[in-house]
Amino acid sequence: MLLPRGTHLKTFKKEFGRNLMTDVMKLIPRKFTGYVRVFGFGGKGFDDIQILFEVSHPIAVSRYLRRRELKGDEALESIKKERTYKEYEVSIYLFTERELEIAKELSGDYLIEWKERDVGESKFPITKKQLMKIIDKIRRI
Amino acid sequence: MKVKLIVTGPFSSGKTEFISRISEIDPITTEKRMTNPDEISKGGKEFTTVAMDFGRITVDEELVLYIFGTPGQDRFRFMTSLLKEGALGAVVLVDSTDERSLAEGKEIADALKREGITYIVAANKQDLPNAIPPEDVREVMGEEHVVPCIAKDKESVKEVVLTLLYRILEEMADEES
Repeated sequence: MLLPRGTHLKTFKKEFGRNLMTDVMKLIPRKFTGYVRVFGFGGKGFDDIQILFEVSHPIAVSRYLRRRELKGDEALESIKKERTYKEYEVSIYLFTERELEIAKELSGDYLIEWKERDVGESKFPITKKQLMKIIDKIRRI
Repeated sequence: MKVKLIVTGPFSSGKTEFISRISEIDPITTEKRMTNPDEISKGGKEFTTVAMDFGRITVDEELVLYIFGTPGQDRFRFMTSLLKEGALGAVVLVDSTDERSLAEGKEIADALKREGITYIVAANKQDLPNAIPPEDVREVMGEEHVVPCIAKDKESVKEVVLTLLYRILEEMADEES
């Protein structure tokens, strides 16, 4: 598995909008397919918005979600319609199985389709660290 | 964790010798006396691998590298498909003194490419006077990753394996980027 579920990829500040989408995609490993959760905070009136991206590299298909119990529904609509640019602090995580279930329950009208996919697997059966160990061992033979 | 490395190549390219140079155990071989007079004269040897060769390198308590050598004769080629399942990578060994070996090696390399297995070509028997130089092997086979090899020499075998592992490392980095 390229990256375990639950992996924190990166936290960064960025203006929300098309640029954020592009930047998010740059952070995702090339062969990754699966789900990425992006938490966005900041910007007046934009608090507590959770954005879920369904990622299918190389083209990201984004679907905006919001937990129903949180505030900011109108703000979310505003973002969607007007592409308001605000600075956001964004943390990206890979879904855990449990989060995936919660997301399904909370998806509501914003989620048209939910196709479950596994996190993309590396073609290699070992990690880079294990490979380095093998290289070191061969050198010393 | 057990990791598998494949040493494959045409008949009489030096696979058994290659594995025996680097394995920490005496390789387990499945050699049988050859029965076909044409192949005896072609390869200049009396015994050939019929199932697989097997070597081992223990990296630490949790990580062991197994080296599987595939049979070279066509009729045992089905073993290659079985052995390369889940492999980390492969060395395609060719006999640099035999142009037919390069052609057969090319077929094997193409099969690995189709299956997405990372490999390098090792131009073996470079110590022999009639060996085709690695640059020419590269050109004849149309393969980018060709390295010189003398399977009788441990350092040369190590160099080949390390070249393959570094190539895998590069591909891993590409996957991450």
